[in-house]
Amino acid sequence: MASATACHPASPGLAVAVDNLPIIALVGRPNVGKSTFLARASHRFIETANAPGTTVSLARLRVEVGGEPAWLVDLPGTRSLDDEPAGDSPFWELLLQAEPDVILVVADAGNLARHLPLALACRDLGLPVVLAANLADEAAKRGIRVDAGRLGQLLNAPVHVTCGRTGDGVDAALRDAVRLGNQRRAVRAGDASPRGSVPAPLYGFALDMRLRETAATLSLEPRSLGAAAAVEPLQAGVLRGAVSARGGATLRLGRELEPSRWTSAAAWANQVEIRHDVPETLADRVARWSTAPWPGIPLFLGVSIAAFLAVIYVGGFLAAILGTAWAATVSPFLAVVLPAVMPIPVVAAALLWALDGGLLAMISVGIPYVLTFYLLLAVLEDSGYLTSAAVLMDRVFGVMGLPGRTAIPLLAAAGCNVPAIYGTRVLRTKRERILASFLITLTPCSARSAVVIAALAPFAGVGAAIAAFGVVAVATIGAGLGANALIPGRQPSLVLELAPLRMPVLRHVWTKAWWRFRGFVVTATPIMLIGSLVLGFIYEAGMWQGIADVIGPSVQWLLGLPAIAGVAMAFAFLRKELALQLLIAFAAVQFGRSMGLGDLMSPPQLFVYAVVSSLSIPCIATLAALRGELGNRAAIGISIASLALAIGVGALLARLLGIA
Amino acid sequence: MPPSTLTKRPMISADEHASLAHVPVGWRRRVVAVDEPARAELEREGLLPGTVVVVTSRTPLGGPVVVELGRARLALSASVAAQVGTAPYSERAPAAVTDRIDPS
Repeated sequence: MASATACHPASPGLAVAVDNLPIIALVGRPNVGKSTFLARASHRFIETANAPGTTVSLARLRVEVGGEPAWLVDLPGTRSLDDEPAGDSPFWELLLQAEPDVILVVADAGNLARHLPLALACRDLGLPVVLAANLADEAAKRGIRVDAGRLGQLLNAPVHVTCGRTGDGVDAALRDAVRLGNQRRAVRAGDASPRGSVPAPLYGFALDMRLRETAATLSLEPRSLGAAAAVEPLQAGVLRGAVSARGGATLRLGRELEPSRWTSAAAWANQVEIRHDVPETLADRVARWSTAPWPGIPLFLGVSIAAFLAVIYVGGFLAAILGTAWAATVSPFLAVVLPAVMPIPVVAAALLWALDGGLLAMISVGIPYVLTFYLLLAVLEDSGYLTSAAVLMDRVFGVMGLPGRTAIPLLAAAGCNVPAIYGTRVLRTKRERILASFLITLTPCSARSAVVIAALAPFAGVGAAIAAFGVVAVATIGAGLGANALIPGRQPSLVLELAPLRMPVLRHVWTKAWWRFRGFVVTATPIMLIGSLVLGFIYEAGMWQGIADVIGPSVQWLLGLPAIAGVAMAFAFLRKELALQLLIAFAAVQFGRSMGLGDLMSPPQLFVYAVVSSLSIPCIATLAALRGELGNRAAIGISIASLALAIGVGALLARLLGIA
Repeated sequence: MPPSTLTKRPMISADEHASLAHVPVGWRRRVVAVDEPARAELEREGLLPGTVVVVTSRTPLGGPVVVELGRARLALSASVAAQVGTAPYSERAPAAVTDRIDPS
């Protein structure tokens, strides 16, 4: 794996190159195969997904081409220099933060008209540019070849036809970039004089005059110290030499220059493309179908159901195997060793909860469900299908302030909430992620579904179980609508380029899934262990009876349920499956004999119990995921909101059913 | 009663100016105007006045419109599509295409 020299994150503002190596910035539109290109260039596969709401880290990789070392900085895919791919700051700020000596623009060889404007904008910055006409294999399948020599003349920059998948041309492009980067460093250090030709002007006279004026303003040193502190990022970039004054001016006037760039790009693409008539590829045809109502919607339903079943069955299967293996090997070992090491029986028993229960929960939730879903999600993302699903579902989820791509994580939530929350990384803004995560925590996972079914089907009938799911669904949709209205901000209208469908690169899929899984293990394990330890201690020390005495009256009054039902629900925080087992265990302790659920509660009470325990506070693993992904505030907010919703719905049901 | 109140999407005639929200599937149109606030976003996707688009599909219930823009496909929600003014596509080639080099 990477991380030995991957510096994550490079601290902003810090002079990145302490070692005087040229810095190559990798820039390209989304879906241009930039990460595959990067993997080829650095001979490493790293997870480079940019999750919004987190500080964008600039992954910096040391590469060596033909014996020449250099830094390669990967930047998020962007559609223009003033685009905001990471949510809050414009792309050019990130680019200048990286202090590049040369920009390696990765473009789609099969659609240069669309990708050259970004290259032109980069060239305008006054930094050396190298263009990689990437995805040459896909372009060839569409009957397009690129005359790299001619394009190089037009662009006044080295152009290489590359293919990230096979690695063709990647090293050559990189070598040119290193050469130009070294040249620029030498010029800046005063060891060499600037060389090279000036590209032909693209913009008309009027725009050119305005560029000059703006450049002059940008290159003025601020007069006083007070003003120096308030220098805006663009001028700061110009003053420290990260970008030329004229380059800074092209950033400021970017929107006015864009139309000329697109016009030139279209004209140039026409000149350098060598086209052959070939039949439309199958992938392109399927891509076109996938967004049409027919057969797009049936296809979407098929993919969704397959994803859902895969998480439930593959996950369930692996969970059973791992659970059995654990019970056969580790559990007996712990049961013998812990009491021997720890003389205080209560503490030993609590430790057993933590190590046996907590770790088992990690293993039987983590590996089977989380990893399975991550692999699936990575396949859907990398194949490009996720954008098609996003388009089809945009209208439906738009009502709840969510983009259509929420569909897949939300569906996975019915298997397990935890991977679904990590799956919200496919969303762009933090608002979307919070809204989606809230809906996910309300969606019954397989464990909670099992509780609903086991509590209701035998004692109140299958109809009652279905009705309970209906109540949960209505409450979830209502909560989604309410949260959308309450949380400030609006869902932006959809403008989305549909990714072409392509075969995912397996190593990428695996790396992506693995890094996300690693993140889950690191954040969830400590919380799981400590949570289990605390709950285990409360249980073993018999303190739960005290809790029952405290919360009993309110549980009785609000929900019409016996006190121990409230305690069982609170303990189910650890694992939702425990909601029923614990209830039976508590009942056995309290009443001195083992009782069935049917003896303990009436069917209406069971109904309320099932609904409330399905909606209330997410389980501890989910909470850990929420905290890791969205921060403490959002995690607490979502927990309180779901608890309030659960109690509200439960109290209403209890009154309607006449038990409170 | 005017036809627009009878159906949600009134049929437009082929020689009429209309927003992209009203162009039927399969039609080729030239973009003539892009209104704010979607303008900056659409510019980044290369949908500027002068470009030619083909409407390829629509999602039911007033969902997004998918258009072909050169070799790219772009999905626009109905509210954005309403901000894109289109005119009939005429065979008269735009300036950018006249200097095309024929590969054969």
